[in-house]
Amino acid sequence: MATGVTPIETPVNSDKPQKAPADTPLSRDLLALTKPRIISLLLVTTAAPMYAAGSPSLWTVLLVMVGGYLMAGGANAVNMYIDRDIDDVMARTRLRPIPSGRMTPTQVLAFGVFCATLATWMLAHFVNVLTAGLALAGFYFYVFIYTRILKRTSPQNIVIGGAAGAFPPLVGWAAVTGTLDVTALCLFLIVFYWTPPHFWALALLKQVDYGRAKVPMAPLVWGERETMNQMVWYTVILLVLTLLPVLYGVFGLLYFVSAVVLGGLLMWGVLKVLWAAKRNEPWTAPAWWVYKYSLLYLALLFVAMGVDRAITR
Amino acid sequence: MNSLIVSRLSPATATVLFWVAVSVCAVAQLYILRAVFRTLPDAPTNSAVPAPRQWAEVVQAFIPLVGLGALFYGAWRALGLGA
Repeated sequence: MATGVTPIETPVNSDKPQKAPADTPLSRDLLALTKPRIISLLLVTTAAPMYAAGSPSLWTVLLVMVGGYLMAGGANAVNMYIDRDIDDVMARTRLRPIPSGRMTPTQVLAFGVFCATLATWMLAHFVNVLTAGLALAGFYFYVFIYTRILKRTSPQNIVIGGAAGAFPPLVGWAAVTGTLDVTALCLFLIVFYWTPPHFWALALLKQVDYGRAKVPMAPLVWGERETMNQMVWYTVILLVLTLLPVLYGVFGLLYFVSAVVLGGLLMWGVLKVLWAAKRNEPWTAPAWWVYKYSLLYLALLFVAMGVDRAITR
Repeated sequence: MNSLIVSRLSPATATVLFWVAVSVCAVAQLYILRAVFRTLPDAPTNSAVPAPRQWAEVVQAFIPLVGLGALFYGAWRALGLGA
């Protein structure tokens, strides 16, 4: 700990398990397996590109949302199946359905596979095969490339693994256009380059938890200062990528202003973390701010895309 | 192409901005690569976590470059700079 400020001192309360009632109903456990709070952001990054790509019917949007939720929820459930050993070690995950003994690993795996299968059928049957294929690719990427291979072996786990979270814009785009183009690739890369500063802010705060679970997150391998430097560089690229579609004329003034203001705030937050560390001051509060604000940043950026295209169309 | 901004951009300005974007990303990506290579020989700062495999780290460091390259090539074409 270069700063002398341990993550345990953060207001995150990371080492205190959340309270769960002993008689949690099965429906609540099944919902918890899908990680609904995380999926809500994925749904924003799926829906907004649909409106940026064209004028989808409400029915198409609804189908893609339900299919997307099932696919991401299935991936999250399978993730909990694979990570059941470390979920028992990390305080913040100890009360999940498997480590708490409320569900068996086989039940969780079956639920995850069922959700993903249903989602694939729904998207292929009611939307198009490309959309279903992309959503399924995101599922496999998250389960096998990230969770199974990278998460426990590489400090760049969430760099490459972050691509799994970047599939939703492709899914939304493909659902409306039936194809992919340079703007879809740009949206994919925006989420891809957003992921490291977002997750490394959390990793900086929860080093104790990750160390206990032997997950080689960047701060534990590279050190805090190097991770903070990397957060800055990834954010620089992210900001450029968010402005690129304006340059070639896909998005207009509303999006441009939103991207500059939102991106400027994110950059400021990331730099505050680095500057605090360099001055040997506590950096946990700015890191916590970056983690929370980056969620809002991505959601608002994508909403701005959809609104911009809707009003200029 | 109904952007309120691009309609005011001359091809020369668009070209300059495009190369500025490429340059900024290239510099940032170089720093990222440098950091990955610089930390390769070292053991993790926290001995509790496993040491990463060097060849895998190098491969992973270069993968984002493929995506960035494809994007800038696509943007180049979308701007009509290759014509």
